[in-house]
Amino acid sequence: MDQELVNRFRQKVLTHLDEAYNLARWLTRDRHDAEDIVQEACLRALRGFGNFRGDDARAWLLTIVRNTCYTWLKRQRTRDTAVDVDTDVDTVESASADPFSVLSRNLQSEQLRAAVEDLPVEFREVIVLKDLQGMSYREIAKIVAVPIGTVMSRLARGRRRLAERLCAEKGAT
Amino acid sequence: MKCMEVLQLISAYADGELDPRRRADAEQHLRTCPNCARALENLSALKAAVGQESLFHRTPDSLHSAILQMVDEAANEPTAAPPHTRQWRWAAGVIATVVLIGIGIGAYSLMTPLKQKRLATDAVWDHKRSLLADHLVDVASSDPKKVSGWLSGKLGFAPWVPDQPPAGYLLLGARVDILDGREVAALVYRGDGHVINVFEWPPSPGAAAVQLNYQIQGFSVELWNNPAWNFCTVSDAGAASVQSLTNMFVIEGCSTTGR
Repeated sequence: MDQELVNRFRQKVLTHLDEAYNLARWLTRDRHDAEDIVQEACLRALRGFGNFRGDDARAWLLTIVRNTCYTWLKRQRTRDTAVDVDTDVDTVESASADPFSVLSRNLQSEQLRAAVEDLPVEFREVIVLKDLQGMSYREIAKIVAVPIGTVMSRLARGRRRLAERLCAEKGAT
Repeated sequence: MKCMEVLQLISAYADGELDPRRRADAEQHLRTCPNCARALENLSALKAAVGQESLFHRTPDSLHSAILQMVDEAANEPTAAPPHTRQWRWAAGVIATVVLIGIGIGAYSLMTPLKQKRLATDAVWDHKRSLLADHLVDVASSDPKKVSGWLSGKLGFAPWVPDQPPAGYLLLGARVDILDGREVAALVYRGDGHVINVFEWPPSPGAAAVQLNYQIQGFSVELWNNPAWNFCTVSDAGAASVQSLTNMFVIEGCSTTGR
């Protein structure tokens, strides 16, 4: 392979390896699967890098990682029940009593991790990309391949679910 | 703006993603409504909690070095194209136009074999990757109809899957893979303990007949075609087995078409 191309790959793509792994780890919820997926995704990226013309190598790598994860998830679907999250009814009215209220302080990170992992993957991925990886709605829309409005509503509803679940736990203890 | 509207937009507001007009409207409401202001405060706390450093998974060192090693290996893999390009440039500067034309013709005749060699190398990578990441098949079935139906739904053509697998082989399933920049069908067979990937895609109109074999990184690769299909088979099962399997595909698949 062209030495110069490989060097550019190291500089432009591999600098985002941590984010690639973080995303894969949150989507698969398994360390070993995440490692396999990132390795496969990097190999794919390396082979496709010669044809990559864009300037956003980070979003490009994360898209490949996400797609590889979804192929993996499809084979695991027996565990996750498939729900069409965008048509699944869950309105603001049902949550008008400020679901975020009980949270604010003293959240244990282990408890939080478990709650995020428990979200449907469509919510989980936008929350991870937004809050842990600091991406804009536009960037997320590109990676997840949905309109910006969908990113917005998935984030809103994902966070509300997350808050509700954390509240329920607090109420139970 | 009413509370209901604000609560609907509050997540995008906290992310700084509202357009200026709605942002201003929401701000105005938040200044006068303590309930919504508290909701925003709590949401921001949730965002901060989720965004904390300790929830970010860093790449394990072992994975990091495995990937670096993989990239290094790719860097050391010889490709024929770049040195040739340089030689032609050098020639252009030194040799007269007539000679240059001669070289040009030589280069043209070289180009096709190079392209095919690269395709065969790509196929080996696809094959290795399918084994490495335990990602052999997207549809696991030994039923040729089911496999071909699934592939047709994913590809722009209907791949041909033989009704009977070749003697001694078992159809494990298929996946969609990328070869030479296009999506191809990858049929996966197992025989005698070896996995064979058969890549299949329609040839471009008027393509010349091809029957090539390579040994790349310890794998046998057969690149054949017939008027209906391009086939590329890869396996470590040994050249003879891979060849006879490919031969069967080329002969039997002759009268089928995917378009």
